[in-house]
Amino acid sequence: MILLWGSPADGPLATVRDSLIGSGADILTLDQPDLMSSRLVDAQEDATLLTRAGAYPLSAITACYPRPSIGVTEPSTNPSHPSAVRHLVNIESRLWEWASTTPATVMNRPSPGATNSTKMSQTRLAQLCGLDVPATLVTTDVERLREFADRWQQVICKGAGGARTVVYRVDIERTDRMPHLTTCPTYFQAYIEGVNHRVHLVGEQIFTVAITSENTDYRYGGCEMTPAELPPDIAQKCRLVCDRLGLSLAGIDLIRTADGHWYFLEANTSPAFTFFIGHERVADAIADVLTKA
Amino acid sequence: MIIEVLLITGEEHRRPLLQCLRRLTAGQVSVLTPAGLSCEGWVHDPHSTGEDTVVIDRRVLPTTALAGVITALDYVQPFDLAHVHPDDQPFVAQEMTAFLRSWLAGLTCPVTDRPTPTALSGSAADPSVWFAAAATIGICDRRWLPCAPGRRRTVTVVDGSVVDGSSIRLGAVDAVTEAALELVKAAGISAARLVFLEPPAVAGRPGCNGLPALVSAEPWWYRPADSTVAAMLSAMVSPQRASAAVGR
Repeated sequence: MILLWGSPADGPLATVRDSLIGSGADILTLDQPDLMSSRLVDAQEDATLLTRAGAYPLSAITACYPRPSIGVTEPSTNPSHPSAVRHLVNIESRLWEWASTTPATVMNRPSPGATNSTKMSQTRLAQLCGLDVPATLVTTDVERLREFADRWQQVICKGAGGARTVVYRVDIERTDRMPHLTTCPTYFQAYIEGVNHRVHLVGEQIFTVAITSENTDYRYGGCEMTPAELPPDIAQKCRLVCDRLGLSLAGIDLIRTADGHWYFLEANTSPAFTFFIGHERVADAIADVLTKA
Repeated sequence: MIIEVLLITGEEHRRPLLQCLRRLTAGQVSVLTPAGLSCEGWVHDPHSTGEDTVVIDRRVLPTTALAGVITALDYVQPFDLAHVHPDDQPFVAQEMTAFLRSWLAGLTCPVTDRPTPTALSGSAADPSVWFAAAATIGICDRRWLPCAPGRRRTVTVVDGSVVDGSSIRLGAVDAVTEAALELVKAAGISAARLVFLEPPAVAGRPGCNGLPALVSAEPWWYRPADSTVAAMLSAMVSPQRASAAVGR
């Protein structure tokens, strides 16, 4: 049985689900409302998930694609009832605990999945795997930021953690913003001019899309996408990054400069691949890995 | 060059830890809370940490001035950031956590314990790590003993030694202390507080092999004791540790 953990309205989960249904796979979809009315019962060396639909021993789950909603989003989970929230947090924690250690295929397990909550750790690892990375500075120091900007001419600012943020180019002359720098160490990188590439790695398969955009952050304000191929050595290094991070699924962001240099930006561990062209093939590949587990 | 031990903690556990430090009259220990990251002077290059700086009590120091770091915080919480606008607290908390994870990972001095992708103070708060480690060394875990009666024993391990344990004569080795020491080694964690069910209660249960069963495990700093903090500090400044840190 394949566990799809998340909302059926979530694009990536829905497309993987469609692909699995098409292939006749045995699937169980669990969303927050299901978990609210479920419980996990321990038994000798196994646990059974009791839902309204039935009883499912966790040992019967051969593969899992976790994309749970973050936090309590389900309206029926009334936050004025702390016990309901506690129940949801507790059962999700137990499922994550299971996902950490189960012999089932999990795309991805919690610890590797958390690696993009610190982008600097990913770039450090990518560099060790032989990929170039942009020069980086994390600081609360205005003078050090000025020196960094002087050296690299154009600098971008982005979130270092797991929250979705808009990448923007820093205007060092915006003196009104500089006092805010002391609020929190902030993540800056040298701006790399080039063509963005999104690389989805699913098991052994690689799907690459080239993206051109007028905007620093192509996700906002329009872009054009075309299918692309990675040079074999770059593909190999991307695989190595995934192996070292423990990821069986990733959406790696790269930039290729006009002179053919490739730079690693980050690895998304639960990629929203439906944003990109050709996403059906990515969904089929995920479904294939889950089915063969 | 000033050499200091830095203790990183959040609002939730700051007070008991400070009380321990005060009772121990531990000099040369500086305390950093998340609010301390909101100061000019922090510099971190994850790809070349040689020029990284730390801000302690408004002093900007090279990270090489640190003798060691004790992390008593798994992630920065919004309530750690009373000085930040409430709307921004969750985001700033995530960013600070990301910063600390990368900064701690880049330090060349001893750090107890090194951060993981899910927690700044290592894996001690992750039940899956403990139960996986328990399974590898044949220690039964509480999940299969939901109603087991029996005597529970709590032990705290720091750096390969039991430093605190109810009704344990420190230095004495019995089944529980042996299990605790083996377990932290198998889990790759240097400091933790562990609760066991003693062997008579688990005898005869499938998979338990007459060994103590693991009931729970948690980071040492959830309930800090003077003896634990003293052992942490002693481990930080021991010459053996200092030499082990070279080349990390």
